[in-house]
Amino acid sequence: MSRFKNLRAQGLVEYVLLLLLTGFVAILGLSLSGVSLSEVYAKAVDGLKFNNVTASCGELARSSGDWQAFKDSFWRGGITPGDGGYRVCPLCGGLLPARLGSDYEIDLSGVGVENIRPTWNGYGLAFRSTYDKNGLNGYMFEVEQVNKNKPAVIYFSKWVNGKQIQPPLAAMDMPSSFDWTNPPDFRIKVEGDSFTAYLNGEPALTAKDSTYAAGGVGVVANQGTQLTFEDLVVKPIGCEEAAQ
Amino acid sequence: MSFEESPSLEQYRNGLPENIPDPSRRLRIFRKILLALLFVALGMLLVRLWQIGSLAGTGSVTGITLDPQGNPLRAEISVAGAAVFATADENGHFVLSGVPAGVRSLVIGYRAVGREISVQVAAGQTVDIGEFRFSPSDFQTAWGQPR
Repeated sequence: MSRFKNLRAQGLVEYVLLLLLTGFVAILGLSLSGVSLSEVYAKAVDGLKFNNVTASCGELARSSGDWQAFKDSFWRGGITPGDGGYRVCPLCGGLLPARLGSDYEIDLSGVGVENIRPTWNGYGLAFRSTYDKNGLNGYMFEVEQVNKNKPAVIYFSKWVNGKQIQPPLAAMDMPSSFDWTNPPDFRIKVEGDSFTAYLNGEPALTAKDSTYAAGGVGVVANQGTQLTFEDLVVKPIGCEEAAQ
Repeated sequence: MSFEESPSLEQYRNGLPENIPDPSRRLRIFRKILLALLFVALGMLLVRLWQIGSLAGTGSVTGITLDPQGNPLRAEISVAGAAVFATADENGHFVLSGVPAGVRSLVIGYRAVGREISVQVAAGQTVDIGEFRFSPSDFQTAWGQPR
């Protein structure tokens, strides 16, 4: 102890400098390594959320009467409650109010399609999406048919500032047996930068993109179609497998 | 230092020692190293912030938008992740101002479809992307039709 007798203790200034240096180095490391802080936080929040939910295999979100409507110079309106479910008018859409994380599965059930025009029929499921004055930002899975002479197509697309970016992230023609009056059961799995569409339980189409890390889900109808559905349910990934 | 611990004059009968011990020397060296590291880290952070455009100011993007047939199109232009919007005039010409400097994703849209273009924007300068022509397939979706 005697050799330190005449030394002054570390001052507050040194502690502050050390803290600042540590903070700068941490931020610098993350920014240089390309890791987005928002992504890190989103993943941390997801982890906490999904850990809690997976244990009970509960739902992350479910359709309710409280939809955020798409209404601007392009979209015509939102989603309204109907007989035993919900109704989406042509060129209408809405998002569930729940703010979801990055990874989940979406199940749209009890779909009824009424094609009010011979062209531009279809509907879609928005995911990792937000809607504000700038328009829709996020991703969409859609089933669409230009007219009766062309096959129905399923595809994943990205939306930026209310515009569907061309070309789609991934697309696939549906078999000629595709029947709008009895559309297949669609389930979308959203995990990391990978999105998979399941048709009647079988994987059919996969796309990859990392622009949007998190966001909500919703339903839209093309201008040639009036859509009804019973329910939209969002669950943690692997919930059904775990339950079996 | 207490009075009792103070050196007596007897110790310095023959003058002051050549190397007077300096107890605060190590502390001063530590402080200098710390400050140097701090400045280096701060410098790197500023460079990084400059690169990502946070402090780099804004620039402009200009160009002409055309439909698939080559006719001028009153397209809407925006930047992903930034509240910057412009609409092309009847000649298809647009000037998008206030674009944060850096590599930006420009969205050129019409109705509810669009194309993404990566543009390098420098502060205080205008980037001319020239003519942008939509492809016929860009409008082969329900969102590319008239409302």
